Amino acid sequence: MNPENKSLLRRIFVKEPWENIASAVIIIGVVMLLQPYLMVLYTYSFNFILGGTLTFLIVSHFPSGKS
Amino acid sequence: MSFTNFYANKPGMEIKFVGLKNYIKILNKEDIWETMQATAHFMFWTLLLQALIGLGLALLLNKKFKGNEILTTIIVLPMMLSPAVVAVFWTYIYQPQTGIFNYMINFFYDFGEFTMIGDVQLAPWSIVLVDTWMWTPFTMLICLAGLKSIPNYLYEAAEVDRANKFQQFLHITLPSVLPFLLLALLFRGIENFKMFDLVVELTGGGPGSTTEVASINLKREAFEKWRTGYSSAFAVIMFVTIFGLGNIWVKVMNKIKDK
Repeated sequence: MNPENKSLLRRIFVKEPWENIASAVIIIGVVMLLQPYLMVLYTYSFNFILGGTLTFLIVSHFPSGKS
Repeated sequence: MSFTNFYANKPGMEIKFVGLKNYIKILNKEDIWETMQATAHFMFWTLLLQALIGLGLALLLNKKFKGNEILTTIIVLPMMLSPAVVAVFWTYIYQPQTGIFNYMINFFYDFGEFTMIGDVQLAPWSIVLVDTWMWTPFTMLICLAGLKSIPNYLYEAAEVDRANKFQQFLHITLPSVLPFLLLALLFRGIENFKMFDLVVELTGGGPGSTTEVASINLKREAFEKWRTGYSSAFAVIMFVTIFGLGNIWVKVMNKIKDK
């Protein structure tokens, strides 16, 4: 892999923004799970929570953008 | 197990793979949705009250005054008791005829005879009150540890800069104590999401199903209806939710600590 591609991948797969996205998905899922208004939101809540949690686990192994 | 139709009370029964059927059933059942709402109500109010009262008490006990140590000991006593014991004696306190709770409320305003545990409107608040009473000292202790770790020279420097007490609280005390408070709330949030013993002893999920939190429903499915596969799926949903939230809390806490 040439150095340019490597640096592009390093810029895309940075831990912090991906972790923020995963956290937001988990929070949306939990709100959907616990809200008392729409049954349909409750039905799809676990998809969000599971997706967010798995994403979080994966992206937390990405290199940090701070270093 | 959560992908099967396993029944623990039917050992000879053929175990079939049912795929995501158990999960789909749980996520389309209105009863379980209602238990999630009861859990949300319980969690939200207990965490809010425990954070506010716990921080307030920690600020109070951080001051030097006579009897500070003995007061701290008295305040942390409820935390040392077993939740089952606490629930049993709070049922006596909540007794409409003989309980001290009704007497105290009627001392301030005459509501007449009312029942906390038996009333649909009041029962959810009765468990919030007991959990807050029992676990606020935990939040308080952790916040107190945070307050004790703040070096005094920060306040001295703030006074030199003519910062008033409120500004000192906002810019020194609160940021320093926030990671500790979040840590306490993380523990309490996880614990309250799966709260079982206190609620089952105090109200048993009633009246009706107003205080039936998710873990009580889970226990009923697993050990009264013996739907082991189904209840395993429910347990997985609860675990993943707690795990996801736990990850976020740890991340937030590290961020605050770095600052």
